[in-house]
Amino acid sequence: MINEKFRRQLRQEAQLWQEEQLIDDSLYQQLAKRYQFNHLDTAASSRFVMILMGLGSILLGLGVITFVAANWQNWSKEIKVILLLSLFIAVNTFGFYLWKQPSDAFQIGGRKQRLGEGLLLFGALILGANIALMGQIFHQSGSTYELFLVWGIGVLVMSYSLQLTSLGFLGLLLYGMGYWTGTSDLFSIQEFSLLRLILEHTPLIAGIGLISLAYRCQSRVLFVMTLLILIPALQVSIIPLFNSDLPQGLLFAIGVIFTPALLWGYDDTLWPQIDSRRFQPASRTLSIILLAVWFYVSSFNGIWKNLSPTDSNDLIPISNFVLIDFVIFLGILLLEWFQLVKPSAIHPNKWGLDSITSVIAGFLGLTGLIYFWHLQIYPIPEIAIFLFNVQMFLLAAGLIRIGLAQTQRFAFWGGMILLVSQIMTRTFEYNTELILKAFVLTLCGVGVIVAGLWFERHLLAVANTQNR
Amino acid sequence: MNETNVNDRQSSEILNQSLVVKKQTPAWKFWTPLLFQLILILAVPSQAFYTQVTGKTVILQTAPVDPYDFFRGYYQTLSYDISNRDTLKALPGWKEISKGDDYLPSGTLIYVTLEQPKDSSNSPRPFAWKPIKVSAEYPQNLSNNQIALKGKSTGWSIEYGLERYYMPENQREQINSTITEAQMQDQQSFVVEIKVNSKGKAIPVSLWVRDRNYKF
Repeated sequence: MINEKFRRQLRQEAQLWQEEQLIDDSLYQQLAKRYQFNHLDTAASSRFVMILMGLGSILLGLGVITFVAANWQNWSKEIKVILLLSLFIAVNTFGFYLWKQPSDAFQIGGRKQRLGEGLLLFGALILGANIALMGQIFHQSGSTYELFLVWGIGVLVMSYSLQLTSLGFLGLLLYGMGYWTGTSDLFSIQEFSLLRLILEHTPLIAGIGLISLAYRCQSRVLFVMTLLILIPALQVSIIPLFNSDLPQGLLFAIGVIFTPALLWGYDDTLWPQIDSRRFQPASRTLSIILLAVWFYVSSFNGIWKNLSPTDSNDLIPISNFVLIDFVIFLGILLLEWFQLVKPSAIHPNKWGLDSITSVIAGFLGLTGLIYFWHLQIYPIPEIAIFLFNVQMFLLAAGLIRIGLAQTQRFAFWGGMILLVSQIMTRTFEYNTELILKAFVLTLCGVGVIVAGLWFERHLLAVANTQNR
Repeated sequence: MNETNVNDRQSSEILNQSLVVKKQTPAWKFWTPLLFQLILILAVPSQAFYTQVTGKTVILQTAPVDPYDFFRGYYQTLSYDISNRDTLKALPGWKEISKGDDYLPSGTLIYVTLEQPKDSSNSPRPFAWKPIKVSAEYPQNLSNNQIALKGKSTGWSIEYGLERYYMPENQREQINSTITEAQMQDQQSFVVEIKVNSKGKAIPVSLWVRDRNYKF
């Protein structure tokens, strides 16, 4: 984008060139027209007006706030409510109509839009303040999660309608906070309410409503945020199964591999009317991160020493309706993996997975099998630890290889971090001698520096050959 | 040369045109979600408003409060005689709800039936209603001087949604000292007036300390 400073300098230079007869008048006029030199002064003056107006409205706002604070206690409920609502409506409406105006980047219009968007965001914050203050005025004692959920849903609806990423970001943040603070409520009997229904079926809401919001706003950030809400919610939705008679080993295996498998199989084209795989890389990256975390956690000695089937018959107090979400997502998972196995357009006669997906499938299968075997058939702590360390090493090596082959910085450094943390953790976990620790630390440090320098140079070399 | 000129003209046209962002968002796309947000805001007081209009006035006896802990924060927490498990344990119906235990799991719903005291007419301040029984469902045959209040167990005590009070800051100190004084002399003189609707939900209306009334 051409900024104003450059245009000013260009005007100065162009005037100089014109005087020095380097360029003729027509060329100067062309330049002047192209870079809109004559708008520069009006832009400056209108910016000055904008600053004055901004300053004025801040003072005005402060005055209003102080006035309200001074009289708040003495006003009746009705005045308070009317005041709150009119502020809410006024800020939002003003914001919307400013935001809606068509803009010209060389003129103040771009700023008007940004101001409008800012006001809409401010309006979203006022929504929360209004909900909280209504509760206060009428002495209602609701829980925090209810406030956040209601507020988040309100903001998300507005964001969906206006396709505004910034509002979506705020809304998802609020919804996520509501979900996190409300999760503990899922584990106790509560009376039925709409908000509780929303809390229980967050996987479905996130999986359908919020992901389509990410598509509407074309925003990868919103997609990843949605997944960060979806993943824990799905883990929770598996929990009621532990109250059933199903073998615990199987349930543990499902609990561990369900979300990574779902995320890996995610394919944008499963949605109607979407034909570019826009968010698949983000979903697969998260899947690998989840796998890496599971491998890391499962590679500890202590985990397997204490992991044994529990005999207690105590039921976990959670509603069985949460399972609906799990079952639906299980269906989606099967559909996804059927799509992956099914012959593609390129190889119409070949059933099977591509090479990376088969490796991931191998990881998932082995992980599930180890948990199942350990809990259901025979405890195998040593073999489990060994196998998880091997898997973790393979994952790290694979990431580094992909990083090198496809010159992806993220994969390379992710693999490096995984590898180094594996070596370090094992060294410290098994109480080895100090001298060996020193040796490993030095080796890791040198290794990371050398490999990193080499890789970054490799990237540079590849970029150079591509440019040539 | 000629080609670059054409290019220039084209790019200058593009420059002039493409920077005008045409965004035509119809107004309903803004007003519909705004209406939805307004409904969300108004949903909070709607229940309170309904109870205010249709509810029946009831007086609740407060439990002793720690004067050093009371009226300190942004909002104040009150508890009542009927918030205490020990009060409810003595009432008929408790055994059926708690299944012989003296502990109610968190989230359990409970309805407390309260009865109006008989000699409440000739006194400057109202007398608290007496709890007479508890049940797991809304009681069917209530007489005219009885009301059922819905509560929820937190495990330790019972909550009725009447626990929080937002007190005007300038009155806080004064009310606080009045209450402390009243509680030291006569515990019975600090009561809360509430309104209860036909489903057992309640909202607070005012505080009575001796013969003084503080509206919310």
